[in-house]
Amino acid sequence: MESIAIDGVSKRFGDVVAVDDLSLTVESGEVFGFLGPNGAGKSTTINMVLDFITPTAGEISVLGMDAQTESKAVRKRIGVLPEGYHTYDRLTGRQHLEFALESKGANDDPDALLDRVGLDPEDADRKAGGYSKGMAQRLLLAMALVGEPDLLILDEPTTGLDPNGAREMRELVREEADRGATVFFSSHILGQVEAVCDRVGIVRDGHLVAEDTIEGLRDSVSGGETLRIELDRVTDDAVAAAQAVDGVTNAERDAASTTQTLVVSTTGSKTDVLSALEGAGRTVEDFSTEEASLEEVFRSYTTERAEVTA
Amino acid sequence: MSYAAVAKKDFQDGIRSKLLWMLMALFIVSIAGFALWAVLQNTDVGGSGDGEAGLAFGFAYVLSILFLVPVTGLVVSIKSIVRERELGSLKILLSLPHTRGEVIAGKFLGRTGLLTTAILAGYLPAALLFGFGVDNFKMLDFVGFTVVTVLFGIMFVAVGIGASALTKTETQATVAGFVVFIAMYTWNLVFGRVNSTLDLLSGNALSFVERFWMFNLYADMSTAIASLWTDTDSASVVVFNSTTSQPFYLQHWFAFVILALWIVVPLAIGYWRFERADL
Repeated sequence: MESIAIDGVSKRFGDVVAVDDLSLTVESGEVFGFLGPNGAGKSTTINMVLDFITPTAGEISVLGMDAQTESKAVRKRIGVLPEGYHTYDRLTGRQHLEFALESKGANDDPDALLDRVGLDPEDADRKAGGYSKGMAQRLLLAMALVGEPDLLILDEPTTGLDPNGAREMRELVREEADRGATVFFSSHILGQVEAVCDRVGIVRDGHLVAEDTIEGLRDSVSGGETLRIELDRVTDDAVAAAQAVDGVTNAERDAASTTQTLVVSTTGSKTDVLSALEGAGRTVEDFSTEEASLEEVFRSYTTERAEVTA
Repeated sequence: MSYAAVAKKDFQDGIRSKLLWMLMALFIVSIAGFALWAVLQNTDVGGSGDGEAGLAFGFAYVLSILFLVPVTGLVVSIKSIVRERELGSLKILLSLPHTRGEVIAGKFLGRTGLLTTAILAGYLPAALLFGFGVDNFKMLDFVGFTVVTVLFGIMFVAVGIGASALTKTETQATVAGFVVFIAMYTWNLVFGRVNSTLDLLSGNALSFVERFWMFNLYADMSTAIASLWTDTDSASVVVFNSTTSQPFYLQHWFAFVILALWIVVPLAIGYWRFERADL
C-alpha cells in the first residue's frame, strides 16, 4: 500500500511556482528521504501533505485518505516534526507532551517517550523557552512519536542536532521503521540520509529530478568507477592511451595531487586501462578505485549540468 | 474534545504571561483595593448615602468597565493565533489532529478563561470584603454585575480572536485591535454622524442600531439580570420614553442576542478566512 501518493501537484504563490507538477509515491513501511537544496520546494510539498497550504493543482492522498478533505483523520494517524523548532516558550516540555497526548487521545507513558528521544526528565519539567535548539528538537520529536503513528513526517530532522544527536535520530528512524512505520523525511544534507533511507527522491526548483534507491542513484549518475592511477610520469601519451580504452568516459591528470596521478572514469574494465597505460610505456606504481560519492550524485542532480542525466 | 485540549494548552500558556499578570494586578488594585478601602471606611456600599470610599469604589468599577475589561479582553486574544502563525508554533498545533475551526473554538475558550481569571482576581476579593465587611450588602446584585462584566469582556475576546485569525502579522493584528477598540467605543458617535448626514434610519430602527454600542449593551444586560430579582422596566436603555410597551428587539433581554452576535460574527469572519489561508 502507498503511505503517501502525490499526483501531479503544483503550488503557485502569485507568480512564483514553488512546486511544479510533482508526483511521488512513498510505499508503506519504507524510509523515504526527500532531498534537495534549500528552497527547492521540499517544505512546500510537506505543507501540502499536511494541509497547511492548498495545492494549486493535483491530488495528494495520505494513508489512503484525501490530504485536504480528510486532513484531521490523516493527522490522527501520523506524527509530524515540523520545520523550525518553535515550542511554546512558557510551557514545560512535559506540558507539551501532555498536549500531544490529549490531542491524539493517546495514553503513552510520557517518561518513556522522553527517554527515547534522550530528553532529561528534569529538563522536561523546565519551560521550553530555555531549551537549546537540540533540546527543542528532541521534545518535538517525542511529540511526533505519540500514539505510535503509522507514518512519520520529519521536516529537516537533523538540523540543529550535533553529530551525536544526528546519529541518535537515525537510530530512532530505524526503530520506528522496524516497528512497521513509514518514515518520510526531508533533508538538504545528504550524509544524514544515506545511512537510513530505503529510497530517496531529489527535488530541485519544484521538480522531482530523481526517485530511486541510493544504489540506483549512484549507478545512474556515474555509471561506473573512478580509478586513481599513480604513474612514474603522467604524459600526454598516457592520457591519450587511457582515453582510447573502451568504456572510459574521462581521463585527466589530477592537478591537485603532488604525485603523478591520472584520474580515469570508466564503465569498462580496469585491467584494460592499466594494460593500455603500460602499453604506452608507463609504469603503474599504485592505483585505487572509488565509487561515485553520494555527495557527487547529489551535486550532479541539484546543479544545472545534471539535467541530461536526470 | 479537540477544542478542549487546545483551550487547556492556551490557558496554561497564557496564564504565565507577564502582561496578563500586570492586568490582573490592575484588577486587584482597582477593584479589590478600593473595596478594601470602602470597607475600612465602613461605608454603606450599594446602599444609600455612599461615602467617599464608596464613591471611589464606584469610580474604579466604572473605569474597569470602560477600560480595563475591554483592554484585557483584547490583550488576551488579539495575538493568540497570528503570533503562533508568525513564530511557527501553529504548525505544531495543526500537525496534531485539530481542525482549524477547533483551533479557533479552543483558543476562544482558553482566552475566555484567562479573561475570567483576571476579572475574578479583582471581583472575588471585593465580593468577600463587602460580604463580610458591609451590613446588608446586596450580594446578588454584585454577583449579577460580575457575570455581566465577564460576558461583556467575552465580546472583546471574540473580536480579538476574529482579528487574530484574519490577519497575517502581529503588527496587523495590533492595528486591527486598536481600530476595533476605537470603533466599539465610538459606535454611537460615528453611526449618529453618518446617520444624520445620510438620513438613513429613524425611530425604532435607529434605536436598535444604538443598542449595539458596548455601553448600552452593558447597561441592558445589567438591567436584564437584575430584573430576575427586582421589578424593573422591560425597555432597553436606548428608549427614552418607555411608557408604552416596546417591540421585543427593544426590550432589555434582547441584549443577550446582540451579545451573541458580537461574539459569533467576529469568530465566523475569522474562521472563514483562516480556514482557507495558506499558512
